[in-house]
Amino acid sequence: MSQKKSTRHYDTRILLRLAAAFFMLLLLLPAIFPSGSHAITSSTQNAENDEAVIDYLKQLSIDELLLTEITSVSKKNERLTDAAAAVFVITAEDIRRTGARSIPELLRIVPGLQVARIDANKWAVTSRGFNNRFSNKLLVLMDGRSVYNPLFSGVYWNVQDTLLEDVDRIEVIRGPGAALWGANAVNGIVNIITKSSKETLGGLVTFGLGIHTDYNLGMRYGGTIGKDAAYRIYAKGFQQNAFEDESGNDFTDEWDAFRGGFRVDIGKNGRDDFSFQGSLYDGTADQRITTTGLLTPPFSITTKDTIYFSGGHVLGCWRHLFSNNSQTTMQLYYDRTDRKEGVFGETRDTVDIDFQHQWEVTSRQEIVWGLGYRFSKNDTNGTFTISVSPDSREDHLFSAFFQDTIELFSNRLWLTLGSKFEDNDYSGFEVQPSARIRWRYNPHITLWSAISRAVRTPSRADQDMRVNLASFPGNDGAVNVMAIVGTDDFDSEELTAFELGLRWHPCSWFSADIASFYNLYDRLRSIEPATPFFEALPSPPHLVFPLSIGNKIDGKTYGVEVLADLQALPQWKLSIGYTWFQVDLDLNAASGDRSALEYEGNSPDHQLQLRSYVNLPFRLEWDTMLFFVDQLNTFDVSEYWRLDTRIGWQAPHNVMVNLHFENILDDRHSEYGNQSGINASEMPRSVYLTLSYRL
Amino acid sequence: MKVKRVNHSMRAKGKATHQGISSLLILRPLFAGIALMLSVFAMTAAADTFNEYHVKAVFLFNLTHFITWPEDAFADEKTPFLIGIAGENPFGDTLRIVLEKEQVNGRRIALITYGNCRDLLDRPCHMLFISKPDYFSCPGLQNIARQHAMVTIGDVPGFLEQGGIINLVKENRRIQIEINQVEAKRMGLEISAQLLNLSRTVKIK
Repeated sequence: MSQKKSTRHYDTRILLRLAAAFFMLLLLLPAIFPSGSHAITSSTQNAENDEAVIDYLKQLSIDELLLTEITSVSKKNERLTDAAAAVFVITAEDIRRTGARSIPELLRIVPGLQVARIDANKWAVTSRGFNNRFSNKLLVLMDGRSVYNPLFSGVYWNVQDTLLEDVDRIEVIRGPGAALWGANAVNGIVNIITKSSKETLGGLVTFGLGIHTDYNLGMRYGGTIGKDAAYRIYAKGFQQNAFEDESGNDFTDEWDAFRGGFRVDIGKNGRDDFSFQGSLYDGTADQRITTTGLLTPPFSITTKDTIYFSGGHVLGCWRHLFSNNSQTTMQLYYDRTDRKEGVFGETRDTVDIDFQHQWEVTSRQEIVWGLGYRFSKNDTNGTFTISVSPDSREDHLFSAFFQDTIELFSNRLWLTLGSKFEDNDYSGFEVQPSARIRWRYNPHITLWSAISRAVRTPSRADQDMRVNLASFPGNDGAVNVMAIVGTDDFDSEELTAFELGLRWHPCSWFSADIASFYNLYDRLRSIEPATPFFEALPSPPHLVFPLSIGNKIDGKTYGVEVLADLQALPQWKLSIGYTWFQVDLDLNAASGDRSALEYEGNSPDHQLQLRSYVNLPFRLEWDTMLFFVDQLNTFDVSEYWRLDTRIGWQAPHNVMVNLHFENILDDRHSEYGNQSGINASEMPRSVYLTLSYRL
Repeated sequence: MKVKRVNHSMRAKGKATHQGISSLLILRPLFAGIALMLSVFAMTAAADTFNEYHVKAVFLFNLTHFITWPEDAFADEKTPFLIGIAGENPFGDTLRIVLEKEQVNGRRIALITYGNCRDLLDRPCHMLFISKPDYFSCPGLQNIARQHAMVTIGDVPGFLEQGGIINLVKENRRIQIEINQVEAKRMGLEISAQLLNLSRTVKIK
């Protein structure tokens, strides 16, 4: 435990010192590492003008070209699948062929992720366990902007959306990525990357409707500005109907949203690239909520409630090539999110600035380092059921990272060492190092392994929030309230992760990717009974039995994730994925928690998926996905099979028609249980039709 | 490993009005540091070598001089020579600049960027660059390549094993050419002896 410091000013001084120390250290680096050798001497090479360079290269003979030395910023060319980590990339083709209409539904195809739909507009998504509506160990970024909410530590999936046709790819890394991405990238990172506006020229209109969708309308127009710039503007709106309860009745969990945005990309001669984007959104999501901890009978009520959400962001990114082996990126964004529901409301403003430098020191060594600062301010509107004190707070987050990749044996063995350093207002200074090694045994087999440390830093929910879980009449007639109470003593949850993976690509039509992990967690969040106290307000006076948030759970998770891709026929691609996951948690001797079991039973032991993409004659596509998800003991949710199929037709005149059948096998099934007052609905069988027109 | 520093109760009580100002003060060294570093880089990191994709773009064009396509690869004399890029375009504007005002055997050159597999199957080209085969999975690509004598060119290790014809691999800071001669022959392509001498022939199957 730390000693309490006397003033806020002291904090600032430490931060300044830390920042200064990092700058000094990082400035020294170029002096420590020798710069790469530059063999070619030619007057044209320094020319600012690419065309002169190209003209020079064009008059070389092919023999001379073969002798020309080149360099590249390897990050730019590095295939993500070459990383020493468990990586999966959802491509634009997957987005089209799965027929998914939301980002979390797309994530189902990633082996190792656990996606459960809570109701029509809420999901629990996690990587490698601890699945929850607020899965706090998964970091989600959209074009470099964090959408992880630091109040509850988690992602509001019903707010995160864009025109899916404009998404280039979604990179998913399972396992800790904290050394590069920072705190809360404990069990995984989801990186949603939209296309450059140079790739989305022209118009696009999509219209969809279905049994559970009144309409889903998307529009985009992209064009060029002069020779070097392109832009696009887009708008999207949808109205989705409610899912069902277990007997098939309407669950009143409708969802609608409108959003619009733009992106501009400016690039001249590849030296400087600028990208600007912005968006605005507004929507409502209905839910069936149980409000607990009321002071008068019936003490808790279940009602239909509406979440009103709105917000927007602006982001600017500048990439500069100092030379072919040195590149910097500077990114700045502002994000506002506003959310109000029956028991709670929050407005948050975030400003984030990030600087990154990639530097190929020699052909066998690459250094990436960066600095970041994030300012985040939130205002909350609590109720007796959920309250935050103080209701407004400003937080500062400073970070720096450093990563060095060394090719130990040419084209055979690579070692990556790195660490992130962060200073946050909740747990102070955090170091999150990792060591990764990749061994290319032969052109067909690559083995990799990693050891990393990552932390999940405390959120306001852990330190400042009170949630009244239940109330009931006591012996003396006074009402008793059971409440989870955040404490300043709550510290970061810690992970030490061991990973081992294999990629096998024996021939052009088959590949397999196997990843395994052994995660050791320390100081996981627990709920500890504390001393009861009387509270006079709000009246009537009542006795509070607090459960204070502690760090008294340790444990481990382990598992294996397998993905195999098979090009069975030239027109037929098959993917098979299997995930085995185990969790074993222990309460400290000193703990009085009863909730550890909840973590153990909210992720399935086994998950299986089968995806088939078939190209048929007459420009038809027929795609099928089958998922098996094992039971969730925490909620008494049974295992289920889900079968989706889609028929797509590339009709003449740039029209595309899609017919998508969802959840064919049963009338409805449940994927998650009631939690934190949110009642879960069941996912019904559904049919959905889209038409899209490119002009 | 960790210094717990936060005095939460103080902050809670203070809810300080001057926090906005203090946050700006904290930002100042950050900006100063970044500005300083930017200037340091500008001085130290001069452009000394050739951009990998400048060289590769020129290679791509040069390769057309050493390969003879079968007659039936072109509909008629006016058919342009089509060069395609599948998936992400790593060249930026470079390839366009390289090909500007150039011809292949008297044919003008057209550059196509394929966003998806369907477009490629519908409108195959004569020479296709695939930068990231993993991102551009295209069932039927190999068949269509054989039918239309489409020379697939990649730049990742193992590209030929995956069915590609020519691979521009980076080795010791230079580009080396690997050719799948068996497959090239099967497609009816004639590759000049000069190019074969300069490149590595990789035997697949």
